[in-house]
Amino acid sequence: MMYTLSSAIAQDNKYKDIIKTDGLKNKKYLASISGIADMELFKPVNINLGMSFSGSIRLLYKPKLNKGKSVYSPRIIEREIYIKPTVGYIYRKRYNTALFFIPEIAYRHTFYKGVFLELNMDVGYMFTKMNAPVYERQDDGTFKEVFFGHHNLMLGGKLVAGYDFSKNMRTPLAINFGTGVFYRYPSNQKWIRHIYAEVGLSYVFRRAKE
Amino acid sequence: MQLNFKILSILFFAVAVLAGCSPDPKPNGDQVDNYYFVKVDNVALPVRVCGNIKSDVAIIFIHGGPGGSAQGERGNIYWKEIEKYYKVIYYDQRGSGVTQGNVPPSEMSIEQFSEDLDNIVDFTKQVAKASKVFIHGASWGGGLATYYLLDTTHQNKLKGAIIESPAYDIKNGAVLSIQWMLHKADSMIALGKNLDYWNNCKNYYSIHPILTYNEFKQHQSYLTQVYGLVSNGANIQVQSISTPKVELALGYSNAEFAPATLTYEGQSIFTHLDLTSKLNQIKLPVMLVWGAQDGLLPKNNLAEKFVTNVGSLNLKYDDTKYLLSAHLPHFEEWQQFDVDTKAFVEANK
Repeated sequence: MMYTLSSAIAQDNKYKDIIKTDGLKNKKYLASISGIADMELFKPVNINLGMSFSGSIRLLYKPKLNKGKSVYSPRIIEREIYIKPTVGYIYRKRYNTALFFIPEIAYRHTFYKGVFLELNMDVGYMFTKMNAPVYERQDDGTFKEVFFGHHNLMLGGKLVAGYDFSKNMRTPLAINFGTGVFYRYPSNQKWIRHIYAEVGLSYVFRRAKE
Repeated sequence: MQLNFKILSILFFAVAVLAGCSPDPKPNGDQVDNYYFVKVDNVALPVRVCGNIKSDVAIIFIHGGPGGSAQGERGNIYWKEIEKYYKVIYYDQRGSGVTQGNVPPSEMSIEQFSEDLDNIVDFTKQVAKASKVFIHGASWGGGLATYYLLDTTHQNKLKGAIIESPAYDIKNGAVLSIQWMLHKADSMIALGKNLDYWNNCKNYYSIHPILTYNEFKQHQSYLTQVYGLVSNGANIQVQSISTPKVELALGYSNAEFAPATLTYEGQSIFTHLDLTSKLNQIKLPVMLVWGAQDGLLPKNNLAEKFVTNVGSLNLKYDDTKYLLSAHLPHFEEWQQFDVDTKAFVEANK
């Protein structure tokens, strides 16, 4: 009897700090632009730059209400899952330009002040186009300039930290920086590892409707 | 909102400028420094054309390894002098260096590498505009050059070949190299130096009497310690060069991949490559260079066998030269090598 009563109280308390969103559709989208620095950590250290563009679509949203100093200043923590279609490139002089598309999946945890942490999982496609004229010998023995590149599978992840100005202020921007790793395949039946750093800026679209 | 767009615009252009621009050093005066890829099947071999833009003589450098790269080769001071007079073609072999592509192990054969080299020779004549072509193969590259020259059609495309410590007979060369190493280990033991280590070294070879890809790394490590690869590092001089912004991880991966997969007549090059009986097919002018201190492919026996068997009536070889060099004389005695190369090219161009 005692056990049943205590578990009932526990169940009742379990969700009390979750904000009820009955009838309210709280939507959020991000459009982001990021600079990428692909880093070779072997000597000689070699840094190749690139950019990526992504749109984030929130799939799941579970805000949490933490106790504030006063009932008039609630501390809302946002817990979100996004899908982030991302296109980008990394430029390697006299070697290749890697063009990629990744439908990233991201979990973002935004603290009540607007600081957030984000964990991304990436599986995507990469095309590496040669960055110098490519010549191929023809059947008649002459050489002809051709377009050439390689198709690759990308697999990786990144950890990002940032600040979402749209959370507590009315500025619809967010900044982020982070680091990640990705592997491309195949290169002689092997995965080739890349480590990179990223700095980005996002425009945040928030919309609440009944 | 306007402010936001300004911020976005500034950030966009800042990143775009950083990503797109890095200065490429311009070659001086009559020098050329162009970068290309030569596509063979599904592979893009990186090719760098450097040197005297006015020269119709080109030297194609064939790197060693197997699995090495020619990307840093130009840093050796030896090439500075050569590039003053001739064009020099640096290329990376299939599945080696920073060559891009997905090469199946079945394509990692000396036969396919020779076909790739033939593409480079034709490219040099047509695109790099050099009608008089020489090849310079060092170590494994010397073995590949030797194989390439077995075909008369290939010989007809060239004016001559510089063959440096060639791996034309790895099968017997590996045995000689182990003997050389054991002799050095005995010398170290006799001197009372690091007895445990050198006894372990001797024990290693008694357990692994045949040198395959699996033992190659350890063998090179032992050779390095007794100066069997580089006799005197102080003699090596380098110059700073620009290099392409490559994936270095790929280079390290290929350095393992190529030696593990390379074959001759379907068998590993380490245990089966021996071109001695075919050397008589080589008829074009050859300059053979061998370092007297070489421990990887010891000069005694191997150089003599090459000289005895090669079919060329125009063979330039001086047994009394390169006494201070180990495996790569163009690193260690580059002044002498410069003089000899120029004399050989001028005599046969």
